[in-house]
Amino acid sequence: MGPQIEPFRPHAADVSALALPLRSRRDRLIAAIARVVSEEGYRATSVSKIVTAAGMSRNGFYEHFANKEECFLAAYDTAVEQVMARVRAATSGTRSGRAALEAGFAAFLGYAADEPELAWLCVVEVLAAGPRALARRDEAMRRFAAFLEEGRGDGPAGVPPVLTEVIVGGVYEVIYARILNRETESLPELLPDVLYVWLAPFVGAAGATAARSAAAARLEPVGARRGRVIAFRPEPRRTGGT
Amino acid sequence: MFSERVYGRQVPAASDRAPQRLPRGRHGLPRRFVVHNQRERMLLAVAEAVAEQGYANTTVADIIARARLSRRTFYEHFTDKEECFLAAYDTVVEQMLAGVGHAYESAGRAWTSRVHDGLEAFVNYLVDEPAFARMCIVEVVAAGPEARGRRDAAMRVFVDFLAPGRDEAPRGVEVPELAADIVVGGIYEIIYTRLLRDAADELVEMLPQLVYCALVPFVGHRAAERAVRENEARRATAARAPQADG
Repeated sequence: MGPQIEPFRPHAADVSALALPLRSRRDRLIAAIARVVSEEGYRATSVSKIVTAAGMSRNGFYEHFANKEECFLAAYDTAVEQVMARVRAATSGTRSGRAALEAGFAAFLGYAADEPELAWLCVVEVLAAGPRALARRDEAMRRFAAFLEEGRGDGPAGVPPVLTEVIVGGVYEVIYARILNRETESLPELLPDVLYVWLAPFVGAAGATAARSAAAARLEPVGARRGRVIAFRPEPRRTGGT
Repeated sequence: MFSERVYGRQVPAASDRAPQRLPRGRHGLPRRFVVHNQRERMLLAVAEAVAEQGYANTTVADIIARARLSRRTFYEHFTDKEECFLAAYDTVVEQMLAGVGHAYESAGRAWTSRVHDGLEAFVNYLVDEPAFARMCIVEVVAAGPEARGRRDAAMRVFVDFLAPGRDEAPRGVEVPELAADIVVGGIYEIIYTRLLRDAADELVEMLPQLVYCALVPFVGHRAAERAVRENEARRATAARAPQADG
C-alpha cells in the first residue's frame, strides 16, 4: 500500500477506528471502497459493505460522505493526487523533457502496480460509476495527455491532432486490460513499448527503438520485493537507504 | 452502393417475415438485421432498448414490450437480460466483423490499403447502424464481465488485422507487439467518446487521420502520410467511376 493510504484491518475493533484522527478515517473509507469495488464492482457496492470493510459505523461514513458516489469520487481524486505527486517527485531534477517523460510514466505505472485496488477503481469501475465519474476520467486523461505531450517535443509537420488522443486512449486500454486480468503488478513492464509507440511518429522508428531499448535496460527485476516482478530504476542509487 | 456491397446481407422485405410486429423504421435500425423468428425479434429489441436506455436501465419487461412477445417466450430462449444481450452482441459483431474482414481482404495486396478499407467499412457500419454501434462500443463495457470478455475478443480480431504491419517496418526496426494493441485500443477510445456524445459523423471526417494513426507506429510518419494520400485518391477515383462489380 502507498504511503498515504494505510492497509486497514477488517478485524480491528471499532473503538480503534473511532480513535483515529478524522483524516485517517476518511482514508480508511477510501481504502475500503477501493477494496469493495475491486472485488464486487461499483453497482454491487453499498455503504454497508464499505463500512464493514472499513470496520466503521454507518454514522462514521456519513460524517465524511453523503453517499456511495461521493465516496467513490473522493477515492478517485485521492488516487489522482497521489499519482501526480509521485510523477512530480520522479520528474523533478530530470535533465530533459524525454527523461521526464520516461521517469514520470514509470512513476505512473509504478503507482498503479503498488495500488492495485485503487487502480481498479480508477481504471475499471470509473466507467460504471455514473456521469460525474466519467467527467473525472475525461479530465484525468486530458492531464495525462498534456504531460505526455510535454515530454515529446515538436515533431514533423502534418501529424494529425487526433494522434495524441489515439495513443493516450490506446495506452489506457492496454492498462485497462492488464488490470482487468488482475495483472496490475506487471504494468511497469509496459514502459519500453509504450515509449516506442509514443515517440515513433516524432523521432522516427530508429530513434524510438533506441529509446525503447534504453528504457528496457533500466527495468530491473526485483522478484522478492512485495511480490512485484519489475521495478523501474531511474538512475543509479547513491545510498543504500530504504 | 458501397455499404451493401461490403456487408452483403440484405434483409428480406420485413412484410414477409413478421407483419406489423417488427419495430420497423425506428432509429433506422433493422435494415441489415435479418429477423426470422421470435429469438431474433428479442435480439433486435434488446439492442434497441439498450442503445436507448442504457444497459443498466433495461429490463426484461422493456425487451418483451419492444419485441411484442410474452415473458414466457423470453425465458424459453434466454435465462436473463444478460444472456439476451450477449446473444445480440455476438450476432451484431459477427455481422460487423464479416463486413470489415471482407473490405480488408478485398483491398488488394498492400497492407496499408487493407487497413484503410477495413477501417472505412467499420466506421461506415457504425454510422449506418447507430443502435448497434451504441450497443457494441458503449454499452458493452457496462454490461458485466462476460460482455467485457466478448469485447476483448472482438478487439483481438482488429489486432490481427494490424499484426502484418510489423513486416512493413523499416529495416532494423522491430515494432513492439504492443503497438497493435495500443492502436486498436486508441481507435476504440476515439469511437467510444464520439458515440457517447452522439457525434458518429465526426468519425467519417476523421477517417484519414485514424488511418494515419493506425499505420504510423509500423511504417513511420512519411510512409503513413503517403499511404493516407494514396488511399484517399483511390477512393475518390472509385467514387467517380460507375460501380461495375457485383
